[in-house]
Amino acid sequence: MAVPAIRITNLTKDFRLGLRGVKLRAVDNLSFEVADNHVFGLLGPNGSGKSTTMKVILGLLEPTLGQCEIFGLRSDSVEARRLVGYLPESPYFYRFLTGRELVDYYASICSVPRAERGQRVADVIELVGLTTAADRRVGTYSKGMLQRIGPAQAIVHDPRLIILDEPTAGVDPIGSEAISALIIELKRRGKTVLLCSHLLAQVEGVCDDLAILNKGHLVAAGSVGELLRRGGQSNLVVENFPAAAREEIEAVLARHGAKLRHIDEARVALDRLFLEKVGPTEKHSKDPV
Amino acid sequence: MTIDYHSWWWRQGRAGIVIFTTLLVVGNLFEPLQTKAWNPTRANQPELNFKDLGDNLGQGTLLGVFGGFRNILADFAWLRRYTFWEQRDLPNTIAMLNLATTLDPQLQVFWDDGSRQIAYDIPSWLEFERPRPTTDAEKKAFAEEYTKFNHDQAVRGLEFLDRGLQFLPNNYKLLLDKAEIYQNRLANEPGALEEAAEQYKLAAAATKQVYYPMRQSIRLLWSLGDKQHQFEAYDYLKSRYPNLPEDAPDAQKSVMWDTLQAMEQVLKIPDADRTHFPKPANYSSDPDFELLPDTKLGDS
Amino acid sequence: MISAFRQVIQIARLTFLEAVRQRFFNFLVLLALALIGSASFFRNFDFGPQELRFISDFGLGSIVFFGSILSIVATAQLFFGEIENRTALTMLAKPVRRWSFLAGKVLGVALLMLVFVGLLTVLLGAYLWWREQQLIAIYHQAFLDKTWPTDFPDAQRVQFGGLALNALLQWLKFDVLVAITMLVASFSNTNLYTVIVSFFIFLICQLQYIAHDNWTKISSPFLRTLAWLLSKCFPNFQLFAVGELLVFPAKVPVPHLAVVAAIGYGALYIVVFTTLAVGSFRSREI
Repeated sequence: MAVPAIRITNLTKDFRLGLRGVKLRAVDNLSFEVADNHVFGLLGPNGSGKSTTMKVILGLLEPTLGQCEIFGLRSDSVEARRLVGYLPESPYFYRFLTGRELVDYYASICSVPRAERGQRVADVIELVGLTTAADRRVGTYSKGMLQRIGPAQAIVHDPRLIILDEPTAGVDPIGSEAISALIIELKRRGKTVLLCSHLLAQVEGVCDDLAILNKGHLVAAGSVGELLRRGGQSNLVVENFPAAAREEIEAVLARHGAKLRHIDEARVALDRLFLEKVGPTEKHSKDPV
Repeated sequence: MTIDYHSWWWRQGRAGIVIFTTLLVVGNLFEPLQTKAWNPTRANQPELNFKDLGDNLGQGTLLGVFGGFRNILADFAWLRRYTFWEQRDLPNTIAMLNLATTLDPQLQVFWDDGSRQIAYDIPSWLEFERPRPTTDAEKKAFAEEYTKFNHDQAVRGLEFLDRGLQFLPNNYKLLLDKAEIYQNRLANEPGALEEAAEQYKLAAAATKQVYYPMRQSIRLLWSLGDKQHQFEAYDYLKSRYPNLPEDAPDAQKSVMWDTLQAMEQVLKIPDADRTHFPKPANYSSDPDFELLPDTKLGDS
Repeated sequence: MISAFRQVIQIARLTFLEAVRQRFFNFLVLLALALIGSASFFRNFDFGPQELRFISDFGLGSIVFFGSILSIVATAQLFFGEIENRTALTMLAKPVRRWSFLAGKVLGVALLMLVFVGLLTVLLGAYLWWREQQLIAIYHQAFLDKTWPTDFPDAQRVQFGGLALNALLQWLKFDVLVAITMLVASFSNTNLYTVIVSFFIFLICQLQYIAHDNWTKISSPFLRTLAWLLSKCFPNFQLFAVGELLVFPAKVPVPHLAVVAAIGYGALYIVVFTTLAVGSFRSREI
């Protein structure tokens, strides 16, 4: 059986606040796994423990109880971090470096061999669509460009697991779509992606599995399809639906003990409409439409 | 009682103990290195006398002294002193002088220049402090006050230089300054010229390059007029002459040779007891040159 | 291990590049330059042959004063800048050991201080050399004209090798201060707290020599113990003043071993404080 990309077992994390050391339990007995080569969504309202969980995965925080492994390695080990690429929320990058210099810097920090570094940097910059701006200083980048250089530094050392924390925060739908495209591409290349995002439509569109946290507890986990299925109900999309056909269908359904609950007009999603009007022509999603 | 190992107190306390213990051990281990480096530094650093700093020990000075910026503070005090000196502000001028010399007592120029300001400049400020005397009585009173003030400042200048000599012992320039104060500012005091001559001798002994103090000492002793002092001047010159270099213009060996001849003539030294030093190799005579007061080479 | 040291160099390089772009650094360099340049006004005063000593005091005092401020503020700023901007998060999420990160920051600021001390010392040295040549010519002419009894005295001439050694010693002292500041920053929550505590420690280190030389003379057992502890737990910053004694001939000659001992003392304390900072930073929650 393949080693999961992330295995969290009975994770509990307490913070001590102030001199009296008042205990704040941020994560309580959390357990879940992220399968290899899956896109995993980690959801939850603010203060649910997502950031704490992510920091434990990245080895930045020590668990109070429980453990966390990355491809079977302890998450706080340097070896584990070699396998991980991370994009923080609202990232800040050194403004005086060019995009290329920035990515090259992180590549050298991650011990990418010098002989390969130049090509690797060029490849990831092309992947995120910043080739034309690569030699401009990061301080001159727009918000969208900053959001794209972020993933570039996260993947330059070819990690197996990529953790993206709110990658589309403050980004327009076109930029958001580009991030989605990148996530799909990373999965196609055999990577595992852990995505934290408040853009639920995007999560639904790209993730295979997800977990929902609330007040430090895991309240739901599983594949997107399983979690979102409404048991006992099906959707039909019909073109040219005359009233007579409706009556016949209701009668058929009644014979089979089913009932037509309601009929809605088919609507296209707002982001779909937006992209049709202003964005690229291809819609990126794990599901074909 | 159970210990909460995650509490702030335990974690910070443990870290504090580790740091403290490490530094204590390291401090003891490094003691030989510290001693090796610190002893020569300490030997060259004068003790800081907080009493002398007195009222000048305001916040800025304190911070500067504690921060280890004595020298630059002394320099600033010295420059500030010029401003007060221009304004003829006596208390602040003296205060800045004291501050500069307390913070950096190794700088000769502080004592040298300072003593001149005390002994020569400050007395002249008195006429700016007083209304111009018009009557004879006022003039007489002013003259008495001026004489006393002059005397007091000269004495203060000498005390100032004595303090400097504690830090710069046997310093030629400070000894010279003392001699000049005795000669120029206290000439009318009993014993002042003898003391000046003595200080000139000490200054001459403190330097191998400058011969002016030697000549001044001889000149002063001779000018006292009595035989005892004139013989003292002659014996002094006799002892110094053999070591005067031929090639140092300041040594004025030719003049010194002529002076010896003149002294021996005036003092009627028997021929057998005379020095009979050979003339200097580059001898050049100036019959009108008057080293000894009221005595020319042509006199006998 | 080699890759860890390479990371240290990379982080140091970037820290240095970031530091020289800080307005604070440029401001302090300009201030120090202005102070050194103001020494040219000393020609209006008659310091005699000791003018060079005066200029040197001024210049070296400026370097020490501004260098001390820069060491503390730059270290705190560069460390907390990483924390607040979360670039520390990005960095430490990579296969970077915490000790590499911290050592890289210390080395980066040390490079900054090297540039600061080196630049100002070179400029001060250049000015001293130029003025010394002028004074030598003036005094020589006066000597020939018999208006001054001697040439410019050797005892007042600048020893430029000593000036360079002094620069090295001051740089080492600043690096010890950088390492101390990094130790405070490793457990402190704010930039301001770090700066204040570090300045306080700096003052203690400047005065450590008083406790070191006098603890045996204190009668009260409590105060004697306190003085002894202060003299052992804090480095003696005054001993780096041995460098200033090399710029002009000292009253009591300075043995070479004293200079070597001071260099060793500084280097060892840099290692000790950096190691303590690493140990403290390991348990810090980012």
